[in-house]
Amino acid sequence: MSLDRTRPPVSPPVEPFQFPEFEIASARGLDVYLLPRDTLPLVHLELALRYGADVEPPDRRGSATLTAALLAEGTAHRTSQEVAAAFEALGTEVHTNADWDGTYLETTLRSEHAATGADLLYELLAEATFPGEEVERLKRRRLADLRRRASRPDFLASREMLRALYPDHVYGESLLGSADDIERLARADVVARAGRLRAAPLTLLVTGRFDRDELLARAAHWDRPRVVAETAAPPPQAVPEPERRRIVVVDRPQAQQTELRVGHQGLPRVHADRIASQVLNCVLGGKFTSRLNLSLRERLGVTYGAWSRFSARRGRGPFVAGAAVETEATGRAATEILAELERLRADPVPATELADAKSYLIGTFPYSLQALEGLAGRLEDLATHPDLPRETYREWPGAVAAVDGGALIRTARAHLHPERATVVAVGPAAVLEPQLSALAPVEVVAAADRQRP
Amino acid sequence: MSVSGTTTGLHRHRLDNGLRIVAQRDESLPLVAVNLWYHVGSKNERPGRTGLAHLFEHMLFQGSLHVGTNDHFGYLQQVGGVANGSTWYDRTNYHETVPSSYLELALWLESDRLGFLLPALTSEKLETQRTVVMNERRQRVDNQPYGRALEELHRILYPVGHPYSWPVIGTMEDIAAATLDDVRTFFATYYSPNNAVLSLVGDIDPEEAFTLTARYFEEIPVGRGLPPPPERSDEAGEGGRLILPDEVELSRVYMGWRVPAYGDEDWYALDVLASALSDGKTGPLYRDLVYERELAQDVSAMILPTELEALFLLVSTARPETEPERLEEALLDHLRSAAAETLPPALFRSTRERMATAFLEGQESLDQRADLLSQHATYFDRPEGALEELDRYLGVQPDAVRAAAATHLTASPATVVVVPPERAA
Repeated sequence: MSLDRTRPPVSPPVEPFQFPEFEIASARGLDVYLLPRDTLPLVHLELALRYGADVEPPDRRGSATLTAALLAEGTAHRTSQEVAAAFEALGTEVHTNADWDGTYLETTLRSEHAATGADLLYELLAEATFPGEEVERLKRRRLADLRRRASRPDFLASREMLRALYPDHVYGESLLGSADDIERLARADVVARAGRLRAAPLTLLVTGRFDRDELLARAAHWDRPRVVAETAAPPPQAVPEPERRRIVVVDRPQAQQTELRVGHQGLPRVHADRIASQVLNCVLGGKFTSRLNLSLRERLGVTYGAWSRFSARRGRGPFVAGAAVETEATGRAATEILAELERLRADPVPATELADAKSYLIGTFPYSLQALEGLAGRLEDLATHPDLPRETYREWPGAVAAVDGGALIRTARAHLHPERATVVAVGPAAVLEPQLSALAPVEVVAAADRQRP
Repeated sequence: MSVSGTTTGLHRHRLDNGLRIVAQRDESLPLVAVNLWYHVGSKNERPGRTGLAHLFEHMLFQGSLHVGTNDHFGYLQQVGGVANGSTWYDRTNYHETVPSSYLELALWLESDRLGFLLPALTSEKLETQRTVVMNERRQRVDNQPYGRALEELHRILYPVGHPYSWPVIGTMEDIAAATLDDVRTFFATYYSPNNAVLSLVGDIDPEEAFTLTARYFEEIPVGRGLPPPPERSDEAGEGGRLILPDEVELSRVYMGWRVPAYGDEDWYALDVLASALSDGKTGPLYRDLVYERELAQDVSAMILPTELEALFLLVSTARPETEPERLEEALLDHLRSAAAETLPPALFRSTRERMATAFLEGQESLDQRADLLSQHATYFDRPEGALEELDRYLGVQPDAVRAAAATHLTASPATVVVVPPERAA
């Protein structure tokens, strides 16, 4: 049979990928999630605590990530360098960090080292001593890092957006905090936070090739005090959103391009519209063939790539659409982004476009689970959001498939708000202000003011 | 240390038109990585037309005779494929990971754009991609703090006209100057089945995959004949130390040396050195410069896997109070130590452990595995080299590391680019 190139080859439909089974076990004072995958002699270990940055008081901003980082900088038995050496002798390193919803200590190691690695992780959590000299050293490095980041136009754009959307709110600054925040933090704050962190609900996440009984025995040996009551604080209170559209230009006169953002508050991780919002975002700006990318990159030719994203956290994190655009085209690009948001509210998404978005999400699911970290990330999501059912990821492909055009347009009307979005543009104000003033009143701020991070 | 898993050995096949195919079965997930390397990159360009290989890479995603303008990504994303391409000094790659039952779709797309591109190559598409690439250059280089440092380093490290002296993305002027004829000629010259390697890793039957590949690719004729590749040249560049002020808060230093090509024994010794020096917190560069003396904010050492010769690079961001010269001197001190004394045993051991873990982590990605197979097949005509790569690293002895540092790094001065804050310049 000769080859017909005029049409793509037809293949039988693919069954949606099934998220693998995992076990939930209890050890003394913690839960253990165990997800075996035998393909390689690797194991990913993670301690996830349901205590993140969103519980920081306003005058202790940055304490969550600082405390998390300091967990690796010395314990009762090891100095900072000795902690690093212990992991490096096993051919790995440890990552300790916090996001809005949780604090995490994780490492990927060869399976033969699983028990040793697990004990080391727990030692960091339970016995970190936060030496004063390490606290100061890390503060100095963070301050310098903030200064480095403040030269980046994309950092300036996202930080300006957060400040605009969440005034006087914990979400209104990056997880590092501002320079003032960092300078203000003292060892006593870290120690106090660590005490609360250690009392928070803890889950050990294990994925890869491991000996289940050996790891459960290690966890039992830790003899962690049982957590009697759920100590997690409620999600952050809502903050009133701007009622009308606003434009902020961060002036960088020598910029070669403009970093453009359009955003407003989004929806929390646990919400009836979460899955529909993933499909909506895929259509809007979640893949190469999304509306924003095809429009701004391929049709208008004003950017290398346009995207959009709903964040997923306990409170109403931001929705942002963005692109680095030709400065002379910023007005057109902003207008186009706002128009695409409006279009999704006004007109149903055509059936084929909707089907393509769903099949993309469902089809790429196994791709995103190739690495153990991908699997662990899903378990981490379940561990830090206890309202999510255990079957969330097994049900996810079916839930995506079930999103219909009606759900999509309802979700767009509920969660996309171009009429009161904030537009942020980082670039030369003299060229940008005239282009953007037709969309809303423009406020210009000097980058130098914003560069004191 | 051995790697086991649900993978089998390598299968190789070659079509009459010269296309080499490598396949490896891995049933752990219902996916297949399809990875195609063309042995052409920025080194095959000439001054005045730099950036052509990369611009051309963009054109290859714009459809072909039987594939509409945005349909390459359209077809792939519809089935849950993840696709991309990249251009480098020595090669251009195109890759997609798709659910394994869509292997034929990927082969249809790849063979259509290799065999039937020219009818679909229009000046309108060229203009669109030209502006996309210019915006890419602005986003990644011209509007990035420190963005131009590496291309300036290349410019002064190599003599004028050396194939590695210009940036892969090209200069803005050259991107603007490319014509449709340049693009057509580039394609006709370099995009030939006998200048390509196709690697397939995933849930496939290798022999069936060969049959399917042959069905789609065998009718594509060999190109007109490849020009001889550019040759290695030992002629020196201007070298020296270039100051490049930028809109930054912290100074950064870039130090480079010309060293033996990827594949050479010393290349592997220098990669072990780079890893020992700068990976992790117990490596001397971090421990001394970032942690103990707090001269640097960050520091990294690396070697590029290039064909004619390689580049060994040290990059370090200074703390606000540190003068760049002091940081450079401190970095050179560490290199001198590495050239004079072998690595401490504990450091050497942990470096080896880390390389073994990193190799395993690399095996998690089907596309990364396929890419490494294509790399070894393209540069050395031996895809099995990909499976031996870890052994090559583990075979490096401490004295070989010391000797490579002494021969290639401390015997000649570094070429340096310093990026200080504009206001201080």
